[in-house]
Amino acid sequence: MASPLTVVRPAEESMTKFTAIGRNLPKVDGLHLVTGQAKFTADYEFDDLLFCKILRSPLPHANIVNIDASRVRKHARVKGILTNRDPGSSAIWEPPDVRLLDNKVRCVGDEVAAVAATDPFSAADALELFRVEYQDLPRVFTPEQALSLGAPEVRAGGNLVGGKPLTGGRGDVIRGFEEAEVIVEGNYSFHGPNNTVAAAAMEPKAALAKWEGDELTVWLSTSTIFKVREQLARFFGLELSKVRIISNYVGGSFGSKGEDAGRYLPITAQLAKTTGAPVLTVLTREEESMRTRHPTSTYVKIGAKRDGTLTAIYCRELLNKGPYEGKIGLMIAAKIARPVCQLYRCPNVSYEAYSVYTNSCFIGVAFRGFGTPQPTLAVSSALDELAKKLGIPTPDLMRKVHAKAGDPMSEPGFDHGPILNGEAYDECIDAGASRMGATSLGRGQGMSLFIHGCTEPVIHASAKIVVDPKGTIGLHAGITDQGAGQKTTQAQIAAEVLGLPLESIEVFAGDSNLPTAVASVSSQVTWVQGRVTYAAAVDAKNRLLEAAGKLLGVRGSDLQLDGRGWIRARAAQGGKMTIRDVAEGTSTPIVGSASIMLGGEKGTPFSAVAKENGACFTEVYVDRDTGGIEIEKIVFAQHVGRAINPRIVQQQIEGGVMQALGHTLTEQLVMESSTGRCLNPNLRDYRILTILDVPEIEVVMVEKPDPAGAFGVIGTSEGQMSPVAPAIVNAIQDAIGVRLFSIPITPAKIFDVLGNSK
Amino acid sequence: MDAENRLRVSRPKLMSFRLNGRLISTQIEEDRWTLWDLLRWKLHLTGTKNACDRGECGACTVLVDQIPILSCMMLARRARGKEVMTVEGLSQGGSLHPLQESFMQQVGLQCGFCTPGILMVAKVLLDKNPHPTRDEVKRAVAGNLCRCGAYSGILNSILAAGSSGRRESAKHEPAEGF
Ligand code: FES
Ligand code: FES
Repeated sequence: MASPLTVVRPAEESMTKFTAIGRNLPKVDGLHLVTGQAKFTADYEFDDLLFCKILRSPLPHANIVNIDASRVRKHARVKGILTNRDPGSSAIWEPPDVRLLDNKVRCVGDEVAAVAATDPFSAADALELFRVEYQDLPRVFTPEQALSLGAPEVRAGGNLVGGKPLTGGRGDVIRGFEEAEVIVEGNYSFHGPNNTVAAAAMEPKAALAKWEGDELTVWLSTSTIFKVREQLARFFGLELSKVRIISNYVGGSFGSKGEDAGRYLPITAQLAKTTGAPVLTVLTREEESMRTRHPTSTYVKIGAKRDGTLTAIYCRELLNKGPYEGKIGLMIAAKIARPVCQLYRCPNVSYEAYSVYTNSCFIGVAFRGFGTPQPTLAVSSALDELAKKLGIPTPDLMRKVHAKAGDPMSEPGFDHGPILNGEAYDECIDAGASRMGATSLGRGQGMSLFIHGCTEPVIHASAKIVVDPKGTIGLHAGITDQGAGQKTTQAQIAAEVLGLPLESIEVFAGDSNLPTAVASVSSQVTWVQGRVTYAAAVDAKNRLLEAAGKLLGVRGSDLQLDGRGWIRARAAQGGKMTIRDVAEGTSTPIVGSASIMLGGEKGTPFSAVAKENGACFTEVYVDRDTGGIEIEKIVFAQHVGRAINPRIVQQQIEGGVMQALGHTLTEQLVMESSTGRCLNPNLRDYRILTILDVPEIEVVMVEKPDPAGAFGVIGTSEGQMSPVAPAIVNAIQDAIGVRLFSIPITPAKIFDVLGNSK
Repeated sequence: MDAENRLRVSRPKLMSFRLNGRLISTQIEEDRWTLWDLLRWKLHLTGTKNACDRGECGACTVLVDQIPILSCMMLARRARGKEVMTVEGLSQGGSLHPLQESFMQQVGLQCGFCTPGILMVAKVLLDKNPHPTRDEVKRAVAGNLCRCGAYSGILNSILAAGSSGRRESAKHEPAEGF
């Protein structure tokens, strides 16, 4: 780790033409973050602020027969109570059958009631005063059980989300397997069927809601302010313009703070409405651990010719959904298509994914990687096995079978198959293989390719660049930055176009009253939002030159920005003036703007997409006596298009690798199967990696500009979640000759397989 | 004790201590308040972050008599007569602490939620040992979790701040190997 920045750049490219792009500039919000001035949601204060705490179910499945809140009501500091008896709780939050507070609980931790009190301690005390009578219902925890005949129904309409499996593919897999000369297959488990991994962002989710008349403002720890605005407007029956979401600083999200972040948000807003006071909810670490990645089991079968040509891939996945968020669960299940249909060239592919409601305490929601890590573990492991069977080194097989620019990128939501703009698999494989070198004695090496997002299927993005009369430049866009550096990189794009130093761009972000921006999900901010920031900056620049031309009595096209805040004539003679002079001198404000709509019914269809792509290599040492495993080295080579701020990109990649490494080796939220509750919802027994656990990680950023991204950029922040686990599984196989079919990979597991294989 | 009665037995208590260099008198509203609660609810210092509230992550670290302490685990009343320093106290007198400078320059953070706690731990390290080795830095911040995984930036930032006193002469380039 912390290797020197390694950027691999096409030979003909020179970076000298850039002033802001490709430079390791400090983050625009760094000062506020290092001085403690940055205001996160829980840092806002109001004199009459109330604090909300939520009573949660101790049972995995039960009817609520009665809630007695009489003692709660007597508590002097309690100002508001919400139970399923209150009219404000009866509206449907999650169709068809889930009300804001329901008559039924469907998992341990489910919301039962809530209070708002004048201080957080009293709110917590008050929860103890509720008397709730439950009637136990039969429960079901695994997808297999939940799909079996006569299984208890978790949700009205059946346990299979959407009523049918999600299927897709191309060609004819049956023929493909007939044509195959070699076939591999296996069942892989990603923490399934019951346990899972958590996003565990350091900042717990928080919401502060305040009503003025029929207008609702929510300060929120979120990455999707416009989606949440829509959600709340719909729930409270308000015009969109009556709801405002503010999210200035977010302490990590990794996908977990989107519109599927939980009912704590509408509960907070409802309590603020009934009490008439602002209400703050901050989730506890335990509550924070309830929304997670989906545990899965994935069956994969791959057929190939002796030379490695793939003839068929079939993949079937079961996802444990927990009881809620079916809609997003389907979108996540759909990502099975990525390793199956997109990552590898194979004429015959077929997949089916079953997202299944259960009474598990872990509710599967969006999480960095969004459904791609689970099937990638299966497919990449199986391909490694195939390579071994064929006697071809895995990197060589990968060179042969990976997707290429121009290949269709079909997946549910992108059914028409936009083509892949570009990729750098060969460059990444070469970079990785050469840096790994030969395997050291007693070690094993493994690798995996990956592919990931860069855009949601429906996009609306806009941005404004405002030159105010003082000559300062504001970039206005409702993006949020949860640490990935979105504010800084967007500002760098604007600074480059305008030829100004980064400090002269002021970023206005994190507010739904600003121009609609893409959500900070899908690693799409740089690729999609970057395009409108670029276009808005070009527009602002043209208007600036136009206005200067009028003042100087020349044509705007005869002028240029000199990179130091001056506007000068292109010719040697002719006037010059500062941006400030222009801004002061013109009568109309100078505003550049741009917006795009892609996909969906109203937008332009996607014809081509960028994808995160690259390769992860690792070398491991396995202690045969103890089952202990050491990660000796990781080389992570990723196609970044253009690194706007290489150090920020490197940190995104390193951070992703660290999370994926945790998921593979040390992290697991454990559900006790007799009670359905989580045994370790904390940060001690749920072991995320510390600075002492960081192995040698070398990040290689391969620059190969994307034709659609601003300055060639593509997204980089999620791809890491998929290939690390299979690269380690493959490396362990290489080291000890035994393949593991499930993660986390613990010493005990390795010890077991070594014992069995002797 | 019954939840209804907790308030009745707990009496507000007056207390004085030094906070970021200034002697202050304040009132602890309830016995169970931790130092973090006092800082947040009474003194309105929001820079110190609470990520777990159970002593597991280091985010809430402040200095008590120059020792890094998890403020979510120390009862507020134990700060009586002590000297407490929070992230707000690092940059007193209008100029940033070298650590703050280097966390900005070296990008020792992603979301920044773990940063205040890490800055406090690193300050004690550098006060005692201005030129720590990589291992010394890592051991010092081993109790501070950073879920963004900004560990290489954190390491480089602390090393750079440690060497900033001799930066002119040595031209220290910290970004080599972990
Ligand atoms: S908040 Fe105090 S240690 Fe985590
Ligand atoms: S920077 Fe986000 S937790 Fe450390």
